[in-house]
Amino acid sequence: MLKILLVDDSPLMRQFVARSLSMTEFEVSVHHADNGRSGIQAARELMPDLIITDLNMPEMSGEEMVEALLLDKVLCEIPVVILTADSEQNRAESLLRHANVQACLRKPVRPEDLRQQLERMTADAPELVMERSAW
Amino acid sequence: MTDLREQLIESVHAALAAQQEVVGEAQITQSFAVLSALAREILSADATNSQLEESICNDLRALSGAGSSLDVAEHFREVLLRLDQSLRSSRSSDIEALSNELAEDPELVQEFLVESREHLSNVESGLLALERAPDDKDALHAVFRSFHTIKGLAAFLGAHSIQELAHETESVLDLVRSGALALHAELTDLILQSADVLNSMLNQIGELPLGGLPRASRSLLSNLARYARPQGSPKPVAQAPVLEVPVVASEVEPVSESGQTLPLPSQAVAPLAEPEAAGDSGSTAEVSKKSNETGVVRIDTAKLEYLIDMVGELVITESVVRNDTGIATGQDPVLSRNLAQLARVVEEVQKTSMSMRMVPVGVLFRKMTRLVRDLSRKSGKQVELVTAGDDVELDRTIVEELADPMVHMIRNAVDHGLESKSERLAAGKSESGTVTLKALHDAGDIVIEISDNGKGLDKDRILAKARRVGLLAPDQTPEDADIFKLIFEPGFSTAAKVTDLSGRGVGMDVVKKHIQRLRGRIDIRSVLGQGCTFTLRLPLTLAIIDGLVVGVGSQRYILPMFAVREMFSPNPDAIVTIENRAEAALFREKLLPLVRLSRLFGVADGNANPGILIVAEARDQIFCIAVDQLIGKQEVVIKNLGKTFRDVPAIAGGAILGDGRVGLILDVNALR
Repeated sequence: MLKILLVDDSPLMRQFVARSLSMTEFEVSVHHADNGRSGIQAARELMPDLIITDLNMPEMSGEEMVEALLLDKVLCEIPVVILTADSEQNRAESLLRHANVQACLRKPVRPEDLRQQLERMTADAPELVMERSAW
Repeated sequence: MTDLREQLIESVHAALAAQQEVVGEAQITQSFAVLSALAREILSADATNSQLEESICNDLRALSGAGSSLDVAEHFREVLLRLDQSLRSSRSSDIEALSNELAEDPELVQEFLVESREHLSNVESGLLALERAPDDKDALHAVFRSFHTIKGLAAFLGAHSIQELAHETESVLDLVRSGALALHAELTDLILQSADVLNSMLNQIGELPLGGLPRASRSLLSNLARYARPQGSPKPVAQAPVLEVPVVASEVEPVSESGQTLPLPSQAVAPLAEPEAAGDSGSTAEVSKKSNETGVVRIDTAKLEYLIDMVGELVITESVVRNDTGIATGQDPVLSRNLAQLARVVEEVQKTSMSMRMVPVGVLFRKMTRLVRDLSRKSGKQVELVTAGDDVELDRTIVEELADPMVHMIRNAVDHGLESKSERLAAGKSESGTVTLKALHDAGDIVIEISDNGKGLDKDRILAKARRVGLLAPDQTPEDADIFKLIFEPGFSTAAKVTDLSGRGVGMDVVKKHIQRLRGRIDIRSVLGQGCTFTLRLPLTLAIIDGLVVGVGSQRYILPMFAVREMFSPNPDAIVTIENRAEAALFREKLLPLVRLSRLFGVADGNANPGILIVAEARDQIFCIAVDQLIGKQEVVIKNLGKTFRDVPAIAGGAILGDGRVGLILDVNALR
């Protein structure tokens, strides 16, 4: 079971992404945070296998969160995927230089993209115990 | 792989756009260099991970071998178009599956509506705040974020029309945010308009499929586009409708895996100032709002109504138990202590449940802010809206019902009450007029005042007008307060065009009817040259009524307190019969019509003749109601009588009284 933390200020957007994740045939448990700050807090408590985050958020943006995570000895290990709208492509891609950022995916995010992401992640880190439900 | 494909889509757009625009050959060459490199990259990646359709592969092969001259560009136009098509559809079919699944979940769609509407209402208040304080960065970020979120959500649901409009609006706001564009009044108008259109699109969801909503009007979209892509600025190579930013990889090498760096069209980098650290500063306004909201749960109103109903039943049952003769006369001290405790708890529960249907009147006031702004822009008068008592809470239904009459009164205040700038200055007033909305508690009621500091109502003109339309006899001159009331007369406003008058008559009869339906009252105060104030007095809630319980024979009736003026025990000779048919009672030297409830409802009255007379007021008429006895004043929870008895004349509902008996609530308006 993969533990995934979704960070987005729109609760509905988190639901959409969760739904998209559920279509990947990976078994995941989804956790929520509504801005960068609470995202860091949740990351510390949960130690998720992956953080999927939005950029535009009140209080603390996705960029700030990514950088803050990097500065943390423990949290810097958690891979991050950025979810962006097409209009923020530059912002998102400039984040790819950070070691913890794995990819920038565009909203609406396709289950296929997420699946590939999860697949790559689990292949990179075989110690991640995972169960696949469907196949 | 997917990233590459995304990049390819964008490059194809860039190349297509480069062909359409008259740009230098160098640029096209560059576009094509990017394209062919990408195509090669994808093909090699795809060798191991064959996801691309055959046709796409073929096109890619053709492209990867392409030279980079202008001729080749011409030649490949068709290839590009086809490639664009198939790339798009391969991406969109995937998303469609997700969208369909999401859109089929009514709860998600419902939440989309709720969340989007909330965002739009924040947009409105944010923009209005920005008009007052243009430097409020937090408000600007919040407005931007709202459109941004709506766009993102709509994209997930496949609501393309919403996505498109929100996107265009967001692009404009992005420029405002980066300082490239000033948020002037026309632009604010435009953004408000786009919020309105988005709202109406949301309203169509349910009737129309999410994917089938009509697009925003061409003029709105092109107006937005005009701001988003101003003529003066260098045109980005990619002018594709969906993707504004062409092959932007800036510092990042898109194909770094193969160690190959792609030459990028120089102008293909983001067209305008990049939003500096956009969205990083959390909006404090929003933060505090958010923290207020913590722990807020949305509940279906039907469930809430049911709960409130049931609490009403609980209150009644509790009172029936408490008044049970067996218990009331019992001597058990423990039982009576427990009952007293129960009564306290039940009262608390009732208060809480009633408060659940209350909403702050500020919600309504904020809507009026927008109205005043629009009216001010249209009329060219400078108008300031001042609100007070925004936290005063009122029954949800009343707040909803109040919107229309309020719009009417405010429109009148701005259109006809307030003078033009020059008139105001000539009268020694400040240049900008003020409309004030004030809510306050008063004696268990809610009072809402709508006032303006304009020219006030002109008595002489009202009198003249009333005489002209036949509301008054030529020699009749009522008292001052009654003169103002004439504007509520149905004939007053509809009889003629009111342009020559202060114009307050427009639809005021409708306003009054509205307020009365809410069991409220409306009064006017006005001083010529200084302004006019409408005072609405409304009950806190429609679920409970403050009633006077009266007895007729063995029956109980409840008269709403707001209709009761006085009660008295008459001398038998104060009641006179007119022509053996109607009765009247002499009260303070006036002869008032008399209604006997016993006769009206055909119930046997007690022997208490002449009984008690209650002086009641309804529709500005005063009359007497004869009853046998007064039982007391009581707050009762109104129960409707269901379909069968809904139309019984003169009965507005029923209520269960403290002793468990049923009383009927009288519709005073129908008694006369």
